[in-house]
Amino acid sequence: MTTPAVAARTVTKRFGTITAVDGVSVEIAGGEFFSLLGPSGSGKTTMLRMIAGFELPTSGRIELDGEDVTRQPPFDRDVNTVFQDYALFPHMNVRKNVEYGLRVKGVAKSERRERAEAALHTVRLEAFGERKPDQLSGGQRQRVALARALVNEPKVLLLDEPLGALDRKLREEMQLELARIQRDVGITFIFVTHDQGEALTLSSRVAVFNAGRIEQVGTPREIYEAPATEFVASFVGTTSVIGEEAAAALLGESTARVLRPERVRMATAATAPEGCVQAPGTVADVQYHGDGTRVRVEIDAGASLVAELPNRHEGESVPALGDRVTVEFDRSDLMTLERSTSHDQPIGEKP
Amino acid sequence: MYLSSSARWALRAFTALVLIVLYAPIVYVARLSVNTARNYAWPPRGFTFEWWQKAFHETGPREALLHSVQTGLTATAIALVLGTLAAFALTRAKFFGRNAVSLFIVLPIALPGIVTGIALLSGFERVGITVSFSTLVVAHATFCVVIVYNNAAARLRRLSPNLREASADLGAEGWQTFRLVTFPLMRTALVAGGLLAFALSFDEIIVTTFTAGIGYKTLPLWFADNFSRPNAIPTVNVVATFVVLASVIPVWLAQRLTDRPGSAV
Repeated sequence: MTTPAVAARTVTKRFGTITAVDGVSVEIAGGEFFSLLGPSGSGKTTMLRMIAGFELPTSGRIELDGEDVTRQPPFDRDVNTVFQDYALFPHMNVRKNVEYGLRVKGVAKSERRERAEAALHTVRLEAFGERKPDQLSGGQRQRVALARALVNEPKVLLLDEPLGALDRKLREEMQLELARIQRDVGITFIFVTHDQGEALTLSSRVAVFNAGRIEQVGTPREIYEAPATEFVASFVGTTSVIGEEAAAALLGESTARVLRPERVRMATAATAPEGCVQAPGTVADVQYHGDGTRVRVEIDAGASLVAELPNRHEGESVPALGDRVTVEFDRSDLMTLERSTSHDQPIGEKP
Repeated sequence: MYLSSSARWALRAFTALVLIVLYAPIVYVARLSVNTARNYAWPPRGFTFEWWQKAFHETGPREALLHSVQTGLTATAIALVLGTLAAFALTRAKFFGRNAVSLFIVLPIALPGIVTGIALLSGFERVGITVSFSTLVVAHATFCVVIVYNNAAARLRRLSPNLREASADLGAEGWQTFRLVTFPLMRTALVAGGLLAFALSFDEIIVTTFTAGIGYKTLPLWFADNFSRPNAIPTVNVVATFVVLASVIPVWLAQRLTDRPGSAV
């Protein structure tokens, strides 16, 4: 295997008594769009800050292109960061902000100017060079921050929840933009986010963080379709868990299984078709959200199944709260978790 | 906030009254500086620039003004260096006793001048230093530092730590970050703090009385010596008016610099 662009080797970071990152090892190949996904407080931002050089690991090693950089200060590392609040220099105009990295490295003025222009072109802000950051919208600031980092042609670009402050529409636009830029410049992107949709859309691979550890690393498809732990299954998309007892009653095998809501439907036939399982129950919750309706059914076997029903026809009957219904799913859609969540952290709770 | 129209008028009238009480005496002194009579009598009579001409040629007030400016500038310069360093130390580093140190830096401004004055005088005498210009500067610096420190610390606390990190991330070493990012962003706070510190030193009289020594007269000391001497009354009025006019400039500058939208970070 070729040398990874970034590698963490059993990296641990403690702040006082709190362990923010707990023995994380991961390898990121050159040119990847790699996401660190997890709830707030799961250690993903701390991990990013250690790669950037803002935090020193308590133990373990950080490598860039095989070189140990654990103790290198940020200004000696060939990585650049896009900060969550952008951290643009408020007293400099856009062009000066973008030129900053080249300026402190002593690049000649004319070359500086040229490369800044090119970087601003990449993020489509050529016309904004003379503006001050406070004269820009959130999305524009975001692009300036991106240009300011890209102009240095780093080996790795670190992005700390860069779209967190944008409204939904702009967010989706910037996602496309980020994907395009990453393809164009071919730099390794490491992207921190708590938004699973964003991570799945953008990434070539995702590492799911929970309580300072990585629960699973894989392609978006692997993460979504074959979650390794209950945490991953519930954090990435909605999942229904069929516990051991319910599984015994319903499926005739006492292994816990999980199921995605889009795989659950309302039963139409009186008996289950070949390869399908039917489960009677009571509707406990109905949520309408435009393109679909999400129905939670407490099945008699003792589990809570969420069904995502598409909103197809007007007047099509949607179950109401308290209705007795029978839900159905294919046996082959059941997913088995490789292992239970690796430590005693209750799901969804901050460490 | 909603106010009834009568309440609004009452507030306006009260504001006007307060401003009149504050400024009428100053206007009165200014009027007296061009009065033909050489006393404080009302109503003033006539109009003349005679006193302005005379005052201009007198060495006493001129020397005192020069001393005050010298003292103020030197004390402010010391305060800018020490106050800025202290602000950096206390906003960026965490160490045992940080709050206590902060309190000790700020305390001199709250101490009664008479206490500071006596304490410094006895302290200087104790170690055998004769009070003179340098002791006066040290005395003034004790409260000038507070002003600079408060301004600088407030600004540093408002600066996002991410700016420093962004600068380092882009390849700047500590000194480059200070020169290109931190200092430009705190410059207005330092100018404002420096101007206020200078103004404070300029009209200080109590501490000055104890720490200036006999031969060294600052402007406030000169006023105190002269304002009750009948012959000096016209000159006192002229010098007072001059100082009022001159002090508008730094105060105006300080306000402009601290209120400017670009300075808010």
